[in-house]
Amino acid sequence: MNDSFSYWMLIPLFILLFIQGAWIFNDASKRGHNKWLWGFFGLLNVPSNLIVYLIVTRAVPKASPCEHCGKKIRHDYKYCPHCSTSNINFGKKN
Amino acid sequence: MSKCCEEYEDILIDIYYGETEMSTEIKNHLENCSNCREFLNEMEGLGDQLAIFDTDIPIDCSLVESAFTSVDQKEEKKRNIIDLLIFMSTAIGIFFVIFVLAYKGYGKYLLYGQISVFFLAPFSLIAFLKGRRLKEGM
Repeated sequence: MNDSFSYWMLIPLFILLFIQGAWIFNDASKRGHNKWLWGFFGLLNVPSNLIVYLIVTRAVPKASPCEHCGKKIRHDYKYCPHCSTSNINFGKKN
Repeated sequence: MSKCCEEYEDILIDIYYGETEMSTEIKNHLENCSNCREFLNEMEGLGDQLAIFDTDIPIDCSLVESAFTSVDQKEEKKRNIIDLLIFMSTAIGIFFVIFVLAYKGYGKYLLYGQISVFFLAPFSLIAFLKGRRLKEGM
């Protein structure tokens, strides 16, 4: 492998990683996730880490405590699996 | 026992606010001392003037609450911007170190590292989802 090629190729990669990491950091802080963990995770690789971040934060619905029993239930549950009362957060976006 | 006017003025303030009662000693002093009489009259006059402005203004609790919320939001936004700047400068530092390493001839290993992270990243999904489930107590 030509060395001069390998290290100059890093510059566009660094730019992409930097933009991705900064965006993930900002988004995680807005959504109340661990921004430092996700930010540094976003700096590791492009674009697989961004896909992992999007799946964890977007595709899996958030959970909130049930109004009746206090146990955490996901927003896509219409009824609480613990006490069978209706979930007031049903349908709420992440 | 004789007291100077400054001490009497302090007592007169207490009398005005109802913290002490008017004693005969003070009454006698007021009859003889024009300065203290004037002081008491000024104080009473000032109290009457201020009473005009002493009106009950209804306080809107929701307005106060929203003001506090907006201050909190602004502070949080400011903190987030500072954190983002810290993160960006740290990232630049990390990239600079990696770039120096690549320049020194370790670029090949960095590329291998990137490729392995690319293939291993999907496995981290399991750990993150498990971590989230634990955090949410489900």
